Amino acid sequence: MGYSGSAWDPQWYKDAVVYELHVKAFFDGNQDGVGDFRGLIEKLDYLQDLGVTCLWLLPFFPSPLRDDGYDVSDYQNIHPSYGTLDDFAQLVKLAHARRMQVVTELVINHTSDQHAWFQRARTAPAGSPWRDFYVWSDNDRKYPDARIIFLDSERSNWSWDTVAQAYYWHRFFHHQPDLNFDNPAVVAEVLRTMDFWLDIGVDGFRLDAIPYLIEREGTICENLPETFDVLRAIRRHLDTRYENRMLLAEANQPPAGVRAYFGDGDACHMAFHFPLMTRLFIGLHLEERRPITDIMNETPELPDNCQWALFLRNHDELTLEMVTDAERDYMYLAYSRDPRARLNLGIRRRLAPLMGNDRRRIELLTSILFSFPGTPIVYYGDEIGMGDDVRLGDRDGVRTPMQWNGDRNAGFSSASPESLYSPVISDPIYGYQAVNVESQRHDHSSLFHWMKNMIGLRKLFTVFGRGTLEFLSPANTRVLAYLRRRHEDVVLCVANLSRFAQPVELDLAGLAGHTPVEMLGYTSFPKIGQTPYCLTLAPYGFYWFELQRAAD
Amino acid sequence: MPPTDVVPPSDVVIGISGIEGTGALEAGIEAARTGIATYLDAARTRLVVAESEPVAGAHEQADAAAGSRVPVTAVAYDVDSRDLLRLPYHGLPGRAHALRALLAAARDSGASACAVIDASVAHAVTPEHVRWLIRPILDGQIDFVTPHYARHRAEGAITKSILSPMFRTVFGCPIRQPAVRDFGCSPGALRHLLAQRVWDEVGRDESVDIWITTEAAISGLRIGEAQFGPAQHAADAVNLSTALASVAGSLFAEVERRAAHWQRLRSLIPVCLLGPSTVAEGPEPDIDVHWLIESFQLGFADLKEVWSEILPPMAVLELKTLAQAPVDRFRLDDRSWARIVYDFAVGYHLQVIRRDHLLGSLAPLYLGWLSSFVLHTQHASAAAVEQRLEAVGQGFETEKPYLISRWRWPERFRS
Repeated sequence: MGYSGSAWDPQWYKDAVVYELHVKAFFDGNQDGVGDFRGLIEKLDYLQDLGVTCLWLLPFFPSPLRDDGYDVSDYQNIHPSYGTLDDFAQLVKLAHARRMQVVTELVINHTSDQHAWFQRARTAPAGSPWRDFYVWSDNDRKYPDARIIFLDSERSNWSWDTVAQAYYWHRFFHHQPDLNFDNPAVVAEVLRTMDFWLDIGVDGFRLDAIPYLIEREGTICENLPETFDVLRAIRRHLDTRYENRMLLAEANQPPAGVRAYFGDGDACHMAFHFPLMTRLFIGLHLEERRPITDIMNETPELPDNCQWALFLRNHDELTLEMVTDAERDYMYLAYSRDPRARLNLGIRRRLAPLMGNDRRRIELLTSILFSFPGTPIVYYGDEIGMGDDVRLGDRDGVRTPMQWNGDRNAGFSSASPESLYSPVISDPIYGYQAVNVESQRHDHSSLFHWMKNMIGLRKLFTVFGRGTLEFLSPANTRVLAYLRRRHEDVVLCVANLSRFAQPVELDLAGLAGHTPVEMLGYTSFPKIGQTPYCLTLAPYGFYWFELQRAAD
Repeated sequence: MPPTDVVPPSDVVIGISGIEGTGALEAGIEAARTGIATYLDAARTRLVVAESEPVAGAHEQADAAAGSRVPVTAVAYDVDSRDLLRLPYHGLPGRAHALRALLAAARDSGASACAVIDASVAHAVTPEHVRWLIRPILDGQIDFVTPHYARHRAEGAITKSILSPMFRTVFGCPIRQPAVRDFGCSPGALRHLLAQRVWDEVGRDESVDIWITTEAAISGLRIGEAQFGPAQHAADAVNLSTALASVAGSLFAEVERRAAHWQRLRSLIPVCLLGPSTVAEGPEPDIDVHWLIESFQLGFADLKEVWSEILPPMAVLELKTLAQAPVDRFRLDDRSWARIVYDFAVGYHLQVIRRDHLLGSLAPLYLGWLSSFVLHTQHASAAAVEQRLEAVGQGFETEKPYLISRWRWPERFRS
């Protein structure tokens, strides 16, 4: 066993509250218009104050930035716009000092076509180990069953390389050739890259696009058994050399399909629950709990050392790949009347605009995010209700500069506005003069303070991260009610998905004698008896109750 | 005898910490030796002295004092320079590392019981200390023994007004002096304390005593309170504000650290009283209540704006009324006092103002409580004073939901 991680508990990720951010978008420390590690270091106090316990940093490696850094050209360095390796090491050290873990990206399905490996491969003889770092073909007809993911920009998973005089395989943009994981040398390089960052102190990796590592004829080239073999090899390497580190799988698949990424607790520690995210939005708009309960009922049990990663929004579009055609149509109608908001099979909007800037709806969904079984992830800016800009290309509209105050450039940078990597949001509703950190920190009724309190409350109760889930079935299906249990802790959560007040009768006879204590204000409610427990919920209202036994 | 990290096998280890002067050490060791001879097997008992570079040589004094009857071993520890650079600094430099060195020495020697005696009280150590810090542990009854020193009514009032009632309520452990520097512990308690990863934290020297007691209280260890006579502590050269800031700051830091624990705790753990009850000796010091009240009134005039940042409006109004009250009606209600202390703990947690300023502004409020307490108990018997203190503790317990709600959703109390 080798280096110990910053966390004390090997399963620290189960209790974490993760904050996802772009270094380039967070704060500009050297005033060149691009966020950097020095800027992020300056804002660690803010993140500590918010209460998050883990930072997930989007790609910050050298890259031509044709896919926002997911086109890596050097795995063991820092993009010069963001700082240096020393800056990064300092960030890790200072985050750990604040008891925050740091998770970075491991983008291993593909590289940039500018990566030295690809430049070397295209000139290497066919069949040589260097050439075989990538997947080549004489024709573009292999693996015909593999779908095209970026439908709006790519026509094929194969592209012709004039230097190699061969086609190369790419599941995403054509400038992102897929690495060949049938080549042991590729796996060895990936492990070396992991060691490089783990030795600096990184606590975990988000494994980008992990279902697509391996290609086989006659398959859809997703979720193949050989892919899971690679994951297990990565995990074995991690466990052999390091303690208390974590692997998070990005596998946009149905829950049953994602289950394989956990293995028997010997593959990934965590994986995103993509379908739940979509169903939360559907359930809220339908004012109906069943889309949510159905997907959770389809969600398999996980090994004890594993955990779901939950989110409402992230740096990508709200993906609709894994829903039915009818559900996708409904989502488009419900949440993207503006066709510019649609991208690929998804909707490129932030949380607040999706919620129509309705504070109650934002709070309701966030309360579910924080109380469902899994680890919640907050996308930067969503804690203050930042908006987006659908006029910007690709997914850049949800990757705009963090809005720190009402000053020039939203306080993100003192560089001239035209030198910013992206324009700041400046519309009357979501613009930085209306929505910013400084004003919300001064306003104790703000969304920021609400989020801070909710994060603090969630951290007090490990039942949220580690407890079991049991849905109740009240007749009123506009109300979502569930119990979370762990050891002696029992928490009852009730959420009104409707825009109108709703009554609900809950069958809690099995908990007769317990007293529900509303957790936010620590207010005792009437004791539970044998008869149905009646509650009235305000529009989009929710309750979290700690059920205290009479003997207590 | 050079400092060593190797302590030979022993049944009992008695560690001396916080060495401040060889005279005190010598007296303490002599008393410990008498206690050992009376209550323990001297051949299987070892004295361990923690020693850092600045006090090198103390072990020779210890050795000489103990003679050949009780072997003495010195263990080395480091002083963290980060602590010395921290301002304001209230702790004994290197105290946390000294304690860790002593506990590790006891663990490594395979001791069945360990006691730590602070040099500041070493001159007042009696054979009874050795008996009650060690014997209950050797007998398998207790895992952690903490002393209670008999004090006069207004002595140790920071502990009586803040530390003890809040510790009892928050951590569910009704011990009366949670910040005392002496303690006894079992092998299990030793292992538990040493396994914690907080010994190297900046500021730990200042708060290590309260941290140790807190860790024992919340870890399911069986706790005993040994009742001793007057402590006759060597007076620390600190003023009231500094002492208050140190004690309250250490307590609030533990409250912040253990929030996930105490917010679900709804009962008291049993504490076994050890030894006969004791009373303070000698004449009771004179208390100038008028000076205390004037200090409170002056504090209200100067600090009410600061207090308004920490306390809800109703509490500030109550204090205003109190500041205007004549002496014969100067009473600070127990529950009001509990809420004030809780509000300061929440303010410390939220850092509503700089923490040193917050703790400094607590001093006049404390003097207001002390005025009320002295006036209320001026003709009371010792038993009545104890009842009064019990009522203070109950006030803190009654208001615990207030602390929880304020902690979880603080801005609801703001206008």
